Amino acid sequence: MSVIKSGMVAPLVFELALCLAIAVLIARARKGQKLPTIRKVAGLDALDEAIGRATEMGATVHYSPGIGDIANPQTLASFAIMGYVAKTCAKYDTRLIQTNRNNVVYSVAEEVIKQAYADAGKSDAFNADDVRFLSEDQFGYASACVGIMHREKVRANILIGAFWAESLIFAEVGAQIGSIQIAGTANTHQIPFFIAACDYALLGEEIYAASAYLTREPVLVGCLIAQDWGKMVGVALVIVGAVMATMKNNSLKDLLLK
Amino acid sequence: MVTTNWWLWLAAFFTVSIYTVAFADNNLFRFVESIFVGTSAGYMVTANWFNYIKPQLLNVQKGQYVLLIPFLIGLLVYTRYVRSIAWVSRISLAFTLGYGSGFILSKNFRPDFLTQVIATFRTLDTFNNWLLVFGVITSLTYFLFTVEQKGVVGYASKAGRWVMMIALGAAFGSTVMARVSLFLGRVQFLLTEWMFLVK
Repeated sequence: MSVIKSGMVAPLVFELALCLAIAVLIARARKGQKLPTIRKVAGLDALDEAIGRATEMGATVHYSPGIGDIANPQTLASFAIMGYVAKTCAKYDTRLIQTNRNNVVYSVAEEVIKQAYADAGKSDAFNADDVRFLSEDQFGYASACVGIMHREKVRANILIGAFWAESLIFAEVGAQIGSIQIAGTANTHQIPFFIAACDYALLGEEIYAASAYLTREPVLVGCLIAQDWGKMVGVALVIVGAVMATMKNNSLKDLLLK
Repeated sequence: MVTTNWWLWLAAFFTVSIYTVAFADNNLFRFVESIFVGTSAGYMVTANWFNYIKPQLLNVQKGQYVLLIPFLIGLLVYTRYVRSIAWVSRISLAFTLGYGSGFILSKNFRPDFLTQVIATFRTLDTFNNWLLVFGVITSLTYFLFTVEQKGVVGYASKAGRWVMMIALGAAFGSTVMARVSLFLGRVQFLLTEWMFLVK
């Protein structure tokens, strides 16, 4: 009996290689070696602008991490951005209302925001009532968010995470009430709605780069470089695989299926 | 002439009330929103009890005592309501986050990366296949964050952006069609089942 399940050899090799690359790059970052700069992501640069606008207007920032559960990578990526947004809001004494559909995400979000307020030296300003669990039902959550956006003077609407059919409801209402809107998701069928209705849209992978981009912490930047290496390997595999397929050679495909 | 079935009246009332928010926030919408959120929360609590918690507790009764471990980890979440031991709730959150990350790593890598890469191994003998391979390569290049976007990488990245915008435009059209069909479903309900205006 094989120790590794059939079909899992290639993923294991790739993941180990990726982990190794991340470890090496983190070690290099910790030694203070020069790391490449990260290219500009307009949507992430605009977070400060959006919070700043809400601050000037004495208004509220609304943050939704989408409706994905805790095992969704987009939700995990959203926590990093949420922490940054909460810290910035705490710094400027701007009210932040964070809404949730999933009870576990709600619990983690509360911890993330509480920690962000502590990091900003404003622990006392943290209001647990502004981190809200609304409903586990998709459209129950959506209609509650619509109500909050209308009633709580939301002027900066940040929607980053896994969104499905409720995406346009949020973005459309945000536009209706005159909020500056920054939205991002990796769910390809929802990205067009965010592009159409929001001021800034983060496309797919850009939400995963956010933590490194916003903090510029060498360790996170090291991880981002390793991810870029993974993508470069992907590009190389596609080119080589397509050429080999044209020559009727399936050996690379067979190798990756192991 | 309209229906005398009061359930349909209720459904029609909720449908119309929800749509009023398209004009402005109003008391009718607030009332219906509160009922919707409340009933959906209540429904979910009931569904979770009967679909997840009760069956597992019955399994514990049958001797599957190992199920008590996740049950106890779940109960730790409620310690957050007692300020002095609120930190204990972090244990279950840490467990859930760790499980989430591990689950993603083991489950998603093959379908999200390898399967996609293998699906791009097309014979380069048709325009469609060339387009697919070109689209994948340039779109992936757009998502390189730590490589300077100039020269070949810059051109590929710009092409990738165009490829994505065209694909997203097509997705937008198809999803809008689906949404219009949902809206028409509600209009059809109002006109046929409630008001009998259309047969």
